[in-house]
Amino acid sequence: MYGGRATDWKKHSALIIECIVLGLVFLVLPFSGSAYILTLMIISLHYVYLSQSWNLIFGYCGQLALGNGLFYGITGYFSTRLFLDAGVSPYFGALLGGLLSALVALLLGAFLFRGKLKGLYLGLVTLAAMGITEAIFNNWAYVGSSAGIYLPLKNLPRQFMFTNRLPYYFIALFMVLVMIAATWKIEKSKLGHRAIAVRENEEAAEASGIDCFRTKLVMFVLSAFFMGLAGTFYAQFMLYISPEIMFGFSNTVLLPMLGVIVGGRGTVFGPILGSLAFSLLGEFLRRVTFLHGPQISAATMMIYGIVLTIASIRYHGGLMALMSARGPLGRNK
Amino acid sequence: MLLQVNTVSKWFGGLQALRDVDLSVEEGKITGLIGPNGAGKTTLFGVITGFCIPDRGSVVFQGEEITKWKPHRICEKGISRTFQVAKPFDDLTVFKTVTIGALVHSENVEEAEIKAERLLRDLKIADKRDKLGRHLTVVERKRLELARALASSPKLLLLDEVIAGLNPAEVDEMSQILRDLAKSGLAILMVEHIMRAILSLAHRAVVLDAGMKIAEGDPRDLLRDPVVIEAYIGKEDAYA
Repeated sequence: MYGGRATDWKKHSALIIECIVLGLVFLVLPFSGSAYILTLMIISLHYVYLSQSWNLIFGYCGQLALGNGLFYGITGYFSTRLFLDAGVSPYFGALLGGLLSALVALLLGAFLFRGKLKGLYLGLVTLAAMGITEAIFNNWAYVGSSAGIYLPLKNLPRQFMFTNRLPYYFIALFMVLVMIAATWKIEKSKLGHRAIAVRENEEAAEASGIDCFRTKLVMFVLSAFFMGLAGTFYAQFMLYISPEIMFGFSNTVLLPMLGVIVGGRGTVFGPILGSLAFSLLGEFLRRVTFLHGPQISAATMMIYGIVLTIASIRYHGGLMALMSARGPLGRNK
Repeated sequence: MLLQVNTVSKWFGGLQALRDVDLSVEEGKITGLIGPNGAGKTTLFGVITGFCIPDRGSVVFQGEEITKWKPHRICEKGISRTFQVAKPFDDLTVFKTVTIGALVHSENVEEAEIKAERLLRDLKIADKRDKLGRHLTVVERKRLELARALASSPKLLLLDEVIAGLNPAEVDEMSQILRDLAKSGLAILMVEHIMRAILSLAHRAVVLDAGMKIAEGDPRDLLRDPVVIEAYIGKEDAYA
């Protein structure tokens, strides 16, 4: 609206160049022939996607809902059982499972947000919901109890199963791109603006005609839907799911949390940066030669904890805010 | 009558913050709400805007009872308020804050942005457009509160001390803005400690003391009313 196309191009040119470079990296590197690099990239993209999903409810709407695994697990299990029992393609199963997760989020969210639960208490109750579900799945024979469910290793592209990893990579990349587009769209929409207002100050938001309850609920449901799709992806990629993994804290909650808070909450690019940084950091720590076995995960957790603490206390805007003075990626605030 | 508050009472535990208060506000008029600290002015604002549900009595706006409505619905209906302690969106820019305020009656974000742009110009804070809420001075915050409240295109505007704390030049500027708003048909109900502002602005004033309405009428007459003087200064001192 303000200024012509030329100035728009100038304003965004650096951003576009960065995107092209990033795009090339993500299009060329998978073909390096290294299974290690490919797997690392798939897992990284998976966390980018998860972070983006959590970003919707925490980053934009400011609600510390921590039961991510609830939706990840429900959708993952649902599509897997549906495939094994009825031969329903997991692509379709993911959508159905995502809708089931959305429904669960709707009911849970209605209960929690109606009760005006927020902050720490919201976090605790959502974690408890996830824990209870994990306990149920651990003792439910139909879903394989604590031993989990194995999927057969076959090359059935229409059933979301590949013996080659490259298709998984492109599906993960596609999911991230869809998520970026969705986040972008939401950020620019009335819903996105309302969510930000709720995050900043609920009283002022209400006084501005914003239905805080409804806004939180919609963002929670969207977040749960997207989070769920990742559960199916994981199931198809690993061909094995168990309650410990699908409802696990560190996979589904801690890593997205690091990505969003360290990267920059409530931004489109922050969680991408944060998750990629942590995926690389985690991988680097695994390669440090003087650490062995359990020491690795202990050291990783310690470092994650320290970084998260520093980011939470000192750098609220995360990497995005740090970069905003320097790089164009940070300029979209 | 645009707004009618009928015998509203509100208790906070054992404390009665409002006792059978009646109040009415007309279109295009500025009504002052005055009284000493703790008189119940802010509570009454809360009752009118849905932040505070009264224990007794009713609030009627444009002929419709809105007593137990949620704040956002009351805003949608046409009552907007500012807060005594300004509540800016700390991490959002002035422009974004006003845009959010304008969403309620806008089809889309673009329309809200156009409204916000115009309001910032009208209220002369266009130069603060890209400043974050947390970086504003108290005076700028009050002006932003006003802009945010006006953005929702209200028919009734409730102002909680938007003038207190301004310097004389700013008081005059704010007074002119409020006068123009009233002239355009907006009803304003304002809580204010600065008597000079009430005298020069308000067509009518209501005096609250200890939760009760003790007087009502032309502000100039009210300041000569012994009951009002007593409420403000205390009985003995008033005649000293």
